[in-house]
Amino acid sequence: MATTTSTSGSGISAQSADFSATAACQDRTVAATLTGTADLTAKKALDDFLSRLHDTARSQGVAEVVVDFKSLAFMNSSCLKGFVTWICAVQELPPQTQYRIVLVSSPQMLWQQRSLHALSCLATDLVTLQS
Amino acid sequence: MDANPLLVSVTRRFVEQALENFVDDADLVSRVAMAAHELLENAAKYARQGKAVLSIVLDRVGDEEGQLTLRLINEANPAHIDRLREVFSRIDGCEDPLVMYVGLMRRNARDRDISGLGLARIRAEGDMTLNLDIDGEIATIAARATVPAVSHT
Repeated sequence: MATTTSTSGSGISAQSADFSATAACQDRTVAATLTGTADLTAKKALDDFLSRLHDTARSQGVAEVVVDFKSLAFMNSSCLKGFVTWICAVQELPPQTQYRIVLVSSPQMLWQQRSLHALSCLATDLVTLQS
Repeated sequence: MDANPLLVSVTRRFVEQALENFVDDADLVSRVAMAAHELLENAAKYARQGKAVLSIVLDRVGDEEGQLTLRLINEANPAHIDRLREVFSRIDGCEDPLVMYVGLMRRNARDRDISGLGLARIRAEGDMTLNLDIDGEIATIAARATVPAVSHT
């Protein structure tokens, strides 16, 4: 299962068979977009992407990371766990270096409403939902 | 089927499309498709020889309320069966599935090897009841959801 990841300037991208992720930093916000299906074949690419997203957010001192799930058809629990690890890592930062996380869902993607709500329960002070 | 990771998403989409023909409830179809994916992925990772059988039974008379059962049968090694029993004891004993699920997320956050969230996700996000039956090295997991009656108003 080939995966590719790259970082250029303040941009990050990752790709596997049926999954891609991109992120770019502007001002004090990182905007990330996920596309395709995040299943076992995408796990490594997504984990690498989230790790670099976290590193970028910290090094650039951003206030907010916005993740757009609207074009993501499905995410399995292994990939969901990647978000759990990321959110918990942000929670463990000193309060002054923490950043907010906004998860954007599509009302038509019913799984997104349920999964992102569960993720937001991990850190209600850091994670907000938008649809 | 061979529980090949590449076939899991294909099967989820098949389950989703097939159910749409029988159940007029997009939320239920979405929950059951998610559950099918998680069950099959467990089999892809842990079933002996990568073999598993997934069945779906819709038990409903006419437009009355009914029940939908997903059942996954596979051979598993003793260590995995012990882990299944541990997960099920957590699920069976919980008062609030969402609280149990979020608690499991926190507990497993640092574990790099496994997610350990699939079955709890079926219970909490899928709002399905779960049952485990072990016969020797054969594990059968049944996930059930209520299918609402069809309203003609």
